[in-house]
Amino acid sequence: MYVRRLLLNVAPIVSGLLLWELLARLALITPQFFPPPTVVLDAAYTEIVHGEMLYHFGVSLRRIILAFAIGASTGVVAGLLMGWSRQVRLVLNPYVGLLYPVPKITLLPISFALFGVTETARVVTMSLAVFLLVSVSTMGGVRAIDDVYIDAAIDNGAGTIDLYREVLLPGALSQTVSGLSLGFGIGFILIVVIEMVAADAGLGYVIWNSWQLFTIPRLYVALMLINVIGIVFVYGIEAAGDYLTPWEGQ
Amino acid sequence: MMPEPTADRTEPRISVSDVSKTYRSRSGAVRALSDVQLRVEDREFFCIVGPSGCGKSTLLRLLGGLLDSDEGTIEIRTGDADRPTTNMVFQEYGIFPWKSVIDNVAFGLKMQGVPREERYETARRYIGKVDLDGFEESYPHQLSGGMKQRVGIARAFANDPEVFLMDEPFGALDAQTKGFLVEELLELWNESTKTVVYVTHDIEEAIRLGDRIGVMSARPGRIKEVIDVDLERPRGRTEIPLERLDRLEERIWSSLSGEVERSMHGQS
Repeated sequence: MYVRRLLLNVAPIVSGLLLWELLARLALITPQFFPPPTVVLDAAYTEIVHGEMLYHFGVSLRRIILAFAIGASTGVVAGLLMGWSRQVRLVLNPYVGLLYPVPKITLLPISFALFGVTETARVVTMSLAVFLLVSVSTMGGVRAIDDVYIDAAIDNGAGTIDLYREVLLPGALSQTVSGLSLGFGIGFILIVVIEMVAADAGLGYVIWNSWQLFTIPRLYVALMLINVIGIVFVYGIEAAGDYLTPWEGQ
Repeated sequence: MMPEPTADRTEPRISVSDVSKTYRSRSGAVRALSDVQLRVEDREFFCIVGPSGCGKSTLLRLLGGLLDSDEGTIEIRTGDADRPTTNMVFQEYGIFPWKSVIDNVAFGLKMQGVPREERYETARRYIGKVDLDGFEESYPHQLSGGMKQRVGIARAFANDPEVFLMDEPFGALDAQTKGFLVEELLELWNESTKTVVYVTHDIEEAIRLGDRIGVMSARPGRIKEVIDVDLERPRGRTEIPLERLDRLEERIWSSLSGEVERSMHGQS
């Protein structure tokens, strides 16, 4: 059963790669732009083992993990507070509401102005995107919690801290998880674009640099590694969400 | 044992005097309760019936401390300081979807700071009493409505409060489930001999459960009349003479019907 499903998932990819290989070898598609997968694989070996690809991979991964961790943790805290406390909401919501619809990449120059052209600026910009999505989702989750659960908690003797821990956080958790997914999606685009336009390391930098130097197989290797990060995070967040919310029915 | 108020228990468990409550919102003020007087004896099962919107739930929430009254005083005599004074059973169950059955039942004890093993032991005992053995690790979404409310009731009894406040706890359930749970509740109450204030709009249910029944007026609500239920327990269908039941029902209904009419007109 499991093997069959795996085969069903893998088969289209493998046949797609084979077709690509064939078309590129026969020069039916421009091999300069679309090098055959075997060539990319060969380049992957060279770039990863002998080149600097792993270094760039590490640089990107570090940025993503840092920004995601900062954005997610502050986003959850802010979202819970905004959801529960009218006062906090009145103070924070205008900022969140103003920044939320802005394409976050436009804030990059401001971030550079504030922090210099530094890692801090890049990480802060991405974490801002994660923060906004996570805080808005979490706030929505808290506000959607049925009053009866709040009443029940208070009636059973819950204090403020208990209320946050036992009711607001778990009650909003599935919303928080979707905020994490969305936040990662937007933050991920952001960090790659930032690396393309304003960094001298990282996978986004490698892609743009490869394009300019016309080292197309190298571009595909970086793309592949970005895909690996994306898959791990997207499905990782989903799996973590399922693990953390066992009460959500199928 | 019959929990009849006796001479040595002259002090009531609950005394409510001159309590009023008005809800204020942007669209205006609604006077929910007006000059409520109520006296509930120790170990009494006191039912409150009234037309919808008469402030039954408001009164219960005032007793539970979930709301503050505008005027008047509410006194609930407390004994043991370690035990909660009141605990509520909600119509919408109020059990947390994100907690397993055992964690729901043990929740109040956790809030009281009872150590994990001890609170789980107590929780298991009450889970057994409401016939939910084997469902300790289940989540509420896996349970039926009746089972969910048994979790709510188990939590209240595990908390061991001085007074149970029940807000139409079986209002959302079908008749069979309701009948069964009423029995189960009576059994638990008999064992614990605690004071219960039970809100319902079902007269028959009130008669089966209550030592006394308070009839509330239409909004703004007050306790219009208190009727003694002079029926022996148990009060199953076979045990109570139908004519006595009818007489009581009629008596309560005649007190209530005018109020229901008033509340219907008030709402339209």
